[in-house]
Amino acid sequence: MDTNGIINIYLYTRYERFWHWLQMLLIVLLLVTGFEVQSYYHLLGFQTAAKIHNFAGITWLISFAFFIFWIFTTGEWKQYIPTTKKIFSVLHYYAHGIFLGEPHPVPKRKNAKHNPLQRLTYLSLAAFLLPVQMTTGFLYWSYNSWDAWGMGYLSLKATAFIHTAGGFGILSFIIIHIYMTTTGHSLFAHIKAMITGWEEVSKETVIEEWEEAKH
Amino acid sequence: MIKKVLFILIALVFTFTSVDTILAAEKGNSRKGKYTYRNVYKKCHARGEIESKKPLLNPSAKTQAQWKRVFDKKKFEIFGCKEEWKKLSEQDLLNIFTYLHGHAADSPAPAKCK
Amino acid sequence: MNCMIFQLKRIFLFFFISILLPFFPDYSFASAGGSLHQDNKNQAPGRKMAIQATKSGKKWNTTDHIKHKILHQEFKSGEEVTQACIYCHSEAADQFKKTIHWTWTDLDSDPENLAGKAGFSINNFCISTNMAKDKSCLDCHPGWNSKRETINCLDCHGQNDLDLNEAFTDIQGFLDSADADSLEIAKEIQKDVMDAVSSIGRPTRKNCGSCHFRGGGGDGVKHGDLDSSMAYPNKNLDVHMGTDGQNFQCTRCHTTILHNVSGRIYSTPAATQRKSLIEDDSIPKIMCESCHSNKPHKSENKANDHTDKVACQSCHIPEFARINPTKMWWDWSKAGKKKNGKKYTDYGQWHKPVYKSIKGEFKWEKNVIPEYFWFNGSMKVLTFKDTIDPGKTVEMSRPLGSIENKNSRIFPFKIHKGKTPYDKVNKTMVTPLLSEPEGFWKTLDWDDAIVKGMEAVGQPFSGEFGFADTSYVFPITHMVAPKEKSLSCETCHAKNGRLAKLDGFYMPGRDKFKMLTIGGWSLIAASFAGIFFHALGRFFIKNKKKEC
Repeated sequence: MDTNGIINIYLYTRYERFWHWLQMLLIVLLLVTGFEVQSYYHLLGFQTAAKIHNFAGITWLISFAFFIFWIFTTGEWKQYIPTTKKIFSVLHYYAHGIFLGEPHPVPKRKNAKHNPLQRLTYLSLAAFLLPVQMTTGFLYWSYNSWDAWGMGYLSLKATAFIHTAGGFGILSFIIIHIYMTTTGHSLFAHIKAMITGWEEVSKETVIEEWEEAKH
Repeated sequence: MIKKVLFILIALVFTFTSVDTILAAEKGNSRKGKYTYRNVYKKCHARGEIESKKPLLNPSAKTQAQWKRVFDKKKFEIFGCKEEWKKLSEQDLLNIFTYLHGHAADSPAPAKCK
Repeated sequence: MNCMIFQLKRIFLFFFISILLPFFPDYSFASAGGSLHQDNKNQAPGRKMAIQATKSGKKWNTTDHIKHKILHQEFKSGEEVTQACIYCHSEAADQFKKTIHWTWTDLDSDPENLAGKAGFSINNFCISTNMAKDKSCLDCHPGWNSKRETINCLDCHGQNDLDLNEAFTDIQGFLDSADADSLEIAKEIQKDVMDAVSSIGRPTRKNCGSCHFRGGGGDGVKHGDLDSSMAYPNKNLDVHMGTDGQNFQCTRCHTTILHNVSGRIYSTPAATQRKSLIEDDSIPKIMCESCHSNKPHKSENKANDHTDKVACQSCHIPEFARINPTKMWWDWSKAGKKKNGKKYTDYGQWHKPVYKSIKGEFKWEKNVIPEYFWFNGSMKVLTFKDTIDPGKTVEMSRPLGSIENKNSRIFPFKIHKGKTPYDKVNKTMVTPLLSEPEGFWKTLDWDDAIVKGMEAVGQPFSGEFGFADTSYVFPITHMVAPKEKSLSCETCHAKNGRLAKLDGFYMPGRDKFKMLTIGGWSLIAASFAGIFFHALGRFFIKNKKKEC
């Protein structure tokens, strides 16, 4: 049924949603405990914070492996291919057009869930920031085995620096990301979509018949 | 006549020897005093009146003047072990006094019982 | 479709659990102390090993010294007693005379700069024995009548309280008097001596402590982790020596071979290897690892990852001087004051002296938090020959070691500070004579005491002396607390924790990166600002549009 030219399409699969929210939970845990380990504040105590951070970190590492498997076997990796097409129009929209109530220049489609800006951002995250964070985190965690692995030349200080810097980067991303979810046609539209899987898009977009919501 | 002279001579000798003894006794034997003092408490402990053989008061517990006062006024209650203390002779007391006085708090060698 | 969904649900649940499950045993929120219920299955490996290594506590004797006729003499002197000991223990004297307990010098040190109390070593307590010429120091030397002539075996092996030096002096005195009473008393004393001489055993904490608890002139002055409270401690004070626990005597860990007692001797470390007895059963038991191994904690405990860089003592001795206070400060420069023309003593907290005319000003402390340094087992101890820089605190002893050295670990220390006299012109520390008739304690005359003292050690003295700030360190290794009291991670992994002063390496939880902190939080602030203004913009413009 199209009311006001808006229809529902199924955008996010179960696994995708599960992974998104699992990641959210783990990242929140990691950020809160991570900054405590860096002694920016005192909540649970160094020992408990470190233990939770280790647990969440290793869990995320393993879960991320599943994610990589999924992203390649399902072809979803295509959603992350970066493009510079329309990137300026997207930037212009968020800096200017959005205030004037203009429509989004790159609405969501099943085979193009991410607008070019998102593609760039998420690819940087998935292919760079998060792997760097996981690598440095894993190295930090396995510090006592460096000598045995022939990596005695590494510096704990440098590892800690990069890992903490990454933490700041991820925190900054999350602040902006959560805010950006409110830029849908309603404040919580995008969040709802990440929970149910169904996204509301305008009719002008090309929708496959099988995507339409049957009620 | 001779009897009188003899009597006076013997009396004099007796007096002098007594005086000598008394003079000698004024400075008691500190070392003997130490052991007599310890013995008091050894016997008292064997009787069961006190818990340990260690004397109740150290020589350094009082000043020389204070010890003098104790012995002049014969205030021996502070030592406890009344039974053994009663049995001590004048000489014993003098020896003990010399020992305590010699090692009092303000003496050159204040001592504590180990 | 529904069937498929249900199947998928199950698969996801399975994967989810299988990811998380392996980590649960890894994961105890319990404190570093571990569980209170220690059954055999749940014991830490270090505890298991230590119990195995010390299982049979009973030592068996093959003799009862009371039965030896040679000890039933009416001894008239200490030397006679030693002769009796050596009659059977023929090699003991020669053995003992080669060890540091007799020589009071470290024969492994440079003979030009001989380390040792009878050598050239100095400290900021009583400073120096003036090569053993300052006789009161010899009170602790294991020879009869404080002379370095005949060994007094009973100093270490005597299990009876009798003061034998005094007893023999008195016996001689009474025998000389020759009157009936005196002779009787002499005989009584000799009987006591005979009892004392037959009361022989392996050295107990009381034997060792008779000297090692009283170093520096009184109970607990020097070490901080050794004082009279360690004669009969409970497990709370020291888990190994507690009388309600293992009741270890000193020699249990200070393995003694041929009268050579193991332990650090100035620059010679206590042990060069940290092996467990399982790896090498001929090593001395002086190191913790000997009985506890180098991975003594339960496998999930992060502490096992610290044993290469942090000494066991650092976490397991949270404070020292927990029962009796220890001296932390000795200012010699204040010595010499009199009251009414007489020397005097002022007492402070715990009835400890805080001022003595003959010694100066003291400060005592209890439950002292140690200071931590890299330590490879050796110390650098100053001698009266060494040149000093009085402009800085003179470190009369300091621990050797650094983070680069593979043998070094972070170790707790007591630092005793003070003001000690030095030669202003020659820039060396001076060694005043103290206890002798011409010593400072008698005359309160610094100039004279220093002149005589420097003469005694054959060192030049310019005549000009001052008082330098000094420090002297003791490694803290006794008074091991129960494991529940071991330090928590936060104690050191925190901004102003116990390791705040130890620099040269990055430590998680203690160190931050200044630029990153500023940059990072600025980025976060900027992010918040950005979304705030963007939202504001959207909000106002949306409203504005509505109005139109």
